[in-house]
Amino acid sequence: MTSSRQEIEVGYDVSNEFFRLWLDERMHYTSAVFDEKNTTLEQAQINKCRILADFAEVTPDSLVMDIGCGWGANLEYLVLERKVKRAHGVTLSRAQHDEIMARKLPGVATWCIDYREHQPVEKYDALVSIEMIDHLVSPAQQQQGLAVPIYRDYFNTLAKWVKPGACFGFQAILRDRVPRARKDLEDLKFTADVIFPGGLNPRLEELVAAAGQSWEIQTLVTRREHYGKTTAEWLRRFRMHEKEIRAQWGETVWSNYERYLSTCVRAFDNHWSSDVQMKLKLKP
Amino acid sequence: MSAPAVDVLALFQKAALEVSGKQLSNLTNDTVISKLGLDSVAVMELVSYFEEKLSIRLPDEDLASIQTLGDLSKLVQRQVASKAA
Repeated sequence: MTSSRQEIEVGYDVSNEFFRLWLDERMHYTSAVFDEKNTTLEQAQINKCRILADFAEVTPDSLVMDIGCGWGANLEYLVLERKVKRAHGVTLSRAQHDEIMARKLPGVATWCIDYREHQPVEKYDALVSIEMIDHLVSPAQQQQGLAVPIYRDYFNTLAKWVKPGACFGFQAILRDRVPRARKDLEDLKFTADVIFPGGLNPRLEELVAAAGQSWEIQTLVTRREHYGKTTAEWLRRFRMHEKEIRAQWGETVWSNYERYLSTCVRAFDNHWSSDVQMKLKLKP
Repeated sequence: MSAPAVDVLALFQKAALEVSGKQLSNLTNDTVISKLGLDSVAVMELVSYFEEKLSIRLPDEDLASIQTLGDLSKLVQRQVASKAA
């Protein structure tokens, strides 16, 4: 099954204030997209949102759904920068949901539920989902050959939520090469077991196989280097707050997250992990 | 010329002993690797042992779907054969 609420809360509910210390000000916890004009983490995160909103062909009049909306960073972008009048979101994390409510974003409605329980009252014009699919399949399910069927169910479910011809800005973390050295394997296992239990990043070919039944993949671009840069910046900011983090959240949280973020930087550098953005268009 | 078949069960037994210090017995192609008391790190170390001993690289995309020693055997034989071709 999908990561449970308890598993999600291990990864996202240390404390909103904790994440605010080392993420960008809007708290995007996903890869940014850097370019010559967008060089800071803050700019690059907005740039990521822009790309995905463009992929989804969002206009101010679109009814947009963000599946796995985190602390509401992308919803905030949609209503403030893109002037979207109505944007919806779902998240499984109560702390994230509370944060979105506290932001009082105009035109935003969110639900703290599993996406499969969501019952849209009207069809959406556009969808965005940023690295939520990484929580759908457990390692055990992958071993049983269930990954592609579960991802296909996700894409097919979302296809039923939208109007004909709708577009979907999609982003996912990918797994790629498997390291062979014990230390590297242990670090990756630690990340999977301690920071994000219950989840497994998909492989690119699994996503391509799963999306195609309902969606045409119109654009596909990998962002491995961008995620490496994003996680390196998170790690830099995290270390800047060492004293405060140790004092407020304790040695275990400090050392767990230091190890996790350091592993992420190496994972993207060594092609153990990557990231992908896709523009998907609903097939007739 | 086809490559000689590799005795994967025997090599796995040897690898488990050398890499993890684990004495395994009664291995068959139906043996489920996850039930041998080896964690995922140890299993990948055994994969690495196979790759080094046989001078092959098992495809990353196939590794996660290996469940039994028979699955591993098929993958190893395929890679050994393609190296010899």
